[in-house]
Amino acid sequence: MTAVTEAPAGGSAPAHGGLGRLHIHDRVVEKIAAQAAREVAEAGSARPRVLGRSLPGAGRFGIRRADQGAAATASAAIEGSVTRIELSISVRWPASIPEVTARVRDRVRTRVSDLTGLRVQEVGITVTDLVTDRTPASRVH
Amino acid sequence: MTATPSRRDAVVDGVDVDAVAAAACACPDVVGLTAGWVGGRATYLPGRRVEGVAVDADAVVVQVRSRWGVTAGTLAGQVRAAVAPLAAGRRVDVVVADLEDPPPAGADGGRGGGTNLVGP
Repeated sequence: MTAVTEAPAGGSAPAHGGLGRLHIHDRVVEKIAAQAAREVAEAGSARPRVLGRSLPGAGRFGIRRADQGAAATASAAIEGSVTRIELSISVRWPASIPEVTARVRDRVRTRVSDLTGLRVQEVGITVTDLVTDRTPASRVH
Repeated sequence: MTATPSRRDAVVDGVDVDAVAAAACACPDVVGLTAGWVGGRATYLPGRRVEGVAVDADAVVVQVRSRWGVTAGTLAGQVRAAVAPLAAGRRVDVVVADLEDPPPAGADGGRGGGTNLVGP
């Protein structure tokens, strides 16, 4: 559930004999992974799911569709200093899915290990949708 | 539940819990303390509760919400340096329980190949 790393990564070893542990919650890894996936231009959020199933006509019911601007869905499991991550993303049509997933995997791995010091053992990616919008949805920020 | 460092009831086994909370919150990359989940780590004092700080037999546990884009190691270093003098000889365990929400897309060029999530 939480990571235990005796010596924190990042070269900032504590000056107090190195005592004390650093725990990182799954949630932290999930947030980093979701944001890292979003940084890849062709990857977007997963198709919304209702009761675990994606709805083909979700847009018509006012449920938000897969969005290129939104973050992907991530879940992470940490054991010791190793983490496994599962991501659900959408891919922009007509980008190559193997290429996009490889880029996402690479980005997630780098970000998570840089920021948390955990070793990323596996990044599982599920592509739940292809997004055909030519222009990215406008954001109100 | 604001911490008031002068209160005498906040001392648990020689550790002033309010002082620990204040020191941890003063770290630049700490957004705040958090119990993490309902019934999570907290110190129960007469009539109140200090969330995110717990004094165990051999360790002071500080559970924080981190600023976005900060490495866990840097954060832990800051918290340890701030809390260690108050820990009465115990080790300081840092728990990164949550992370600040990421900046919205476009604010820092985070999308489309932006690589400036972390500073140099």
